[in-house]
Amino acid sequence: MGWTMEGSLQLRGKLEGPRIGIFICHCGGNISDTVDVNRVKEEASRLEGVVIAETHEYVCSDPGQAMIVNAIEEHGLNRVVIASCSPKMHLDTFRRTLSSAGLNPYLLEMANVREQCSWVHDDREDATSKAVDLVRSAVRRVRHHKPLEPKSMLINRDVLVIGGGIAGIIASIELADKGHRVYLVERSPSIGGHMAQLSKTFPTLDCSQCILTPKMVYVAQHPNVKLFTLSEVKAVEGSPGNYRVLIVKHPRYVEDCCVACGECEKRCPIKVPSEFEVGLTYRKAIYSPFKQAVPRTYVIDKERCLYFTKGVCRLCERFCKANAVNLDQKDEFIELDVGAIVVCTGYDQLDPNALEEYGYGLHPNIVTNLQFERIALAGFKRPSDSKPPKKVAFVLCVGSRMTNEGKGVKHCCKIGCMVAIKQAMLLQKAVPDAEPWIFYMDVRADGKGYEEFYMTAQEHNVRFVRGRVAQVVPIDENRLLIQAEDTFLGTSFEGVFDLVVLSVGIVLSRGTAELAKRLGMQLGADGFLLERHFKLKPVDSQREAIFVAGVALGPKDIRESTLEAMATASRAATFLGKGEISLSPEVAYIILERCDNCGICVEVCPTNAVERALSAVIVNPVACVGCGICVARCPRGAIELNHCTEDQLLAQIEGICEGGVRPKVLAFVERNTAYSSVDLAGQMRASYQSNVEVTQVPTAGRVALRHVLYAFAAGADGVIFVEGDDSVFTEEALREHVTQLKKELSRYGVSPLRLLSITTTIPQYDKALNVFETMVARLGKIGSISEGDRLKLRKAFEELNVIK
Amino acid sequence: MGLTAPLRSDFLHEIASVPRGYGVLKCIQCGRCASSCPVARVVPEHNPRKLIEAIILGLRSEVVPTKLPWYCLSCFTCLDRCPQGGDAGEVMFAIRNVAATEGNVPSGLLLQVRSLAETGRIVNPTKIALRERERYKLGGLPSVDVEAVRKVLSRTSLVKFVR
Repeated sequence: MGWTMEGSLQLRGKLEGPRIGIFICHCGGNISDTVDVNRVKEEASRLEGVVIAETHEYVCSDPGQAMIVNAIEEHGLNRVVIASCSPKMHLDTFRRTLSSAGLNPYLLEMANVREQCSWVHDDREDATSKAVDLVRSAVRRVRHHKPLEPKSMLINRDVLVIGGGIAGIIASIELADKGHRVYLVERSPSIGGHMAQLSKTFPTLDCSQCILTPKMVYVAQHPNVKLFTLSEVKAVEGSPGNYRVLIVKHPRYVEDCCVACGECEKRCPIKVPSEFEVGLTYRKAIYSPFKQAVPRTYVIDKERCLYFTKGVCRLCERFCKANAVNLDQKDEFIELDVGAIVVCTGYDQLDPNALEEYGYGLHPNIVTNLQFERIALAGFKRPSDSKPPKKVAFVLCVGSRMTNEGKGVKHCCKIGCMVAIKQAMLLQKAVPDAEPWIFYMDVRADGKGYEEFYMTAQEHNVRFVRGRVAQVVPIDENRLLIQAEDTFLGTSFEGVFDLVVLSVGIVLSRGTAELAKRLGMQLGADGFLLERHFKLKPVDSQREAIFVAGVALGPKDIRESTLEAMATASRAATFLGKGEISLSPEVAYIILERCDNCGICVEVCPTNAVERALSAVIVNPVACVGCGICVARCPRGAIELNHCTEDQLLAQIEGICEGGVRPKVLAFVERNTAYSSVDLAGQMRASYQSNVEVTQVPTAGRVALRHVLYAFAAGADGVIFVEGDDSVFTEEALREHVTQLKKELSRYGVSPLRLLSITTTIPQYDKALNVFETMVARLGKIGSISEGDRLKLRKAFEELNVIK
Repeated sequence: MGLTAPLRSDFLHEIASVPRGYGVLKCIQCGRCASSCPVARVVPEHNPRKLIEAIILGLRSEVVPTKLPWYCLSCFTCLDRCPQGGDAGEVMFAIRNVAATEGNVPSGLLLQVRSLAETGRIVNPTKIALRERERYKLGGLPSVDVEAVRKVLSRTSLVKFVR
């Protein structure tokens, strides 16, 4: 890496004063339409230490980056400030630019004038003034930047794949074929997932089992794959590249020597509705979920088995010729060390019972589309009397695309239209003179070959009625009445059907939300797992080296799930392929001569990274997450945090508070989740008051009383902490911190009303925006802090800072 | 219903700005309200979807001065079923308010408003009903503070219809 060498330019950074270059991006109008970039350039070029200020249409483009590289060489720059989009977007890009010019990448600072300025404000004057503040803050801060070097750590090349549906199977195969050892963990007794339940797949009408089962067998027999069925992930610890996972393997009560002869099943007296058949038929308490199950070993349903519920029976044990039944098996706990994790936990269908107008459960001939898949495979017999259904209604958008609360979900299930069309055509083939009717709102046929498939259905006389079905009413043992409106004809529609198939909406599978919490992943507003970047990192989770594929990310069909599974395999291999991971140098370190070994830092560290040694404490740079809580709490100023040092933090506060619009609100925003959330407000083009200005901190725990006093002294009138809900600085810790700060502030004559805090998740940006609004409204009433008071606060700060 | 004038969205926004009328903007014309509506079964003229369609198309003269706003019985089945949370049953009240301010009020409703202003009751019991009350020993009718009712009426636009 270019920036590991000690180049002459780096030395210049240490030997001479700062020579700062500022580059302001138009972002093709995204910034320059709202912010007067030329005025920002003028103001910036007057700041101390600034050698050159330039604007560019797209600073991130090749010519834009070339401009920076040239300027570094031409003007001997040793610090760079870029005013552009969020650092979440391009920090890495520009760090590489600095490296390529021989400058240490940590000598860069970015001012976020897009997501947190031009996209959230309309008034050109206000937005420009705020952009100047943000640039000033960045310039003041960058003067104190020091070159930093990352350390590297070896990583484990094994991968854990959670979920054995089609996505998990494909991801495992891809990774195993690349040579990684894969642990595939599946909760149910067999892999295969929902795809194993399907009849044929659209639009090619491939038999689902025929294309799936070879993959199931392949993955289970792969020498690099270790399969755990009936197993769940209980706990995860460690860091990217070195996760330690605790798996619990539930007992099957049947040993692997089972030959799947089925003798036990015949003897078992207990009948249970089959999960695999979606309740349409029965299985026994000892069973194999389906014929092609992998592994084929039978399993005992402990909840239903007579031996486990009443202590009697044991017929299966007696009649098993292979002596495979073992009723003494216990939960097994297994620890796995892996470098990366792929989550493919799939979906569940909504409970159609919640939508009572569709009459699900009232009549055997009202079924879900997943049940109809099983009906199709069993030869198209309607449940009430096993006769072939002639007139079949396919009701789309059952619980999907509903904005009224508590009834359904807002999102489209994405597969319902194509599934209904496929099922209609299969029915026509199997049952002569069958009459499939599809009740739809919009037929969404947006995949390769899907529209053509839809057209074929129209040509084959599948009847399409545009109208959402109002209700389904049973009229006798076998038949059902459907009421809808044919909105094209403008007439009401009432028809009698032999079978009604509900295209039920889909949601994240049960248990995935809890799993996400254990893994440190986020859920989006739609209730599915959240990707790191919607377009550019679509299978990365918020957590490094944890990837997601399939419907766990959002509704999609088999083809897309497969694509994502392959993508996760590629992403995981990219991460693991290096064999080592570079550790951020943004960690805390001890200033030995000041430390008196009081141990407060050891207590407050949320990751146990600070350890006691003989004469002082030491920080473990692998465990340290750079939250800065210890720095704020150290009474002797004996801990510093790389890249958020006292000097840097104070300079950035001073820069942002000076000048600009009054009253001024300074929001200290936690750098990961909370910062992304405030960015999202910009991406969604929400708006907030332009006198609210955001500055990034590792966590709110890094900000101590002295920093808040300093902010008020420097020009702030209100201070807000925004923390991510997954931060190591927890909600309780934040509440305590703020309560304490409010007490202290009152002592210095600052109204506690001037301090607010909020914990948020990425999609809930409105939480942060509400707090912004509350603070601005408050300041409208209580007004700005007088200049005299600011002077007093500055004195108080100085006294406080000397004592440290 | 035919298009007799160029499309205008004024009427749509007029309805949307009347209290309870906002849901009209959410309509996607799926027809669940119309096919859920019990009134539509016996009164073919009444079709909530078509009524909202007419509003969207700006056909003011085919909505406001007609009987259409007044068929709804406010059972709110549509409100329960509307996938958009658009609440046709609520929108109906907005349309009625517009119709009423332009003098389109059914005579029966006017009688009820006047009765409310005069006696504090929308419906006054008949002599037969009063006799029945006596028979079941229900006591006299509870008294009504007519002045208070009139005070409320005078603060609302209903007062117009009292005269």
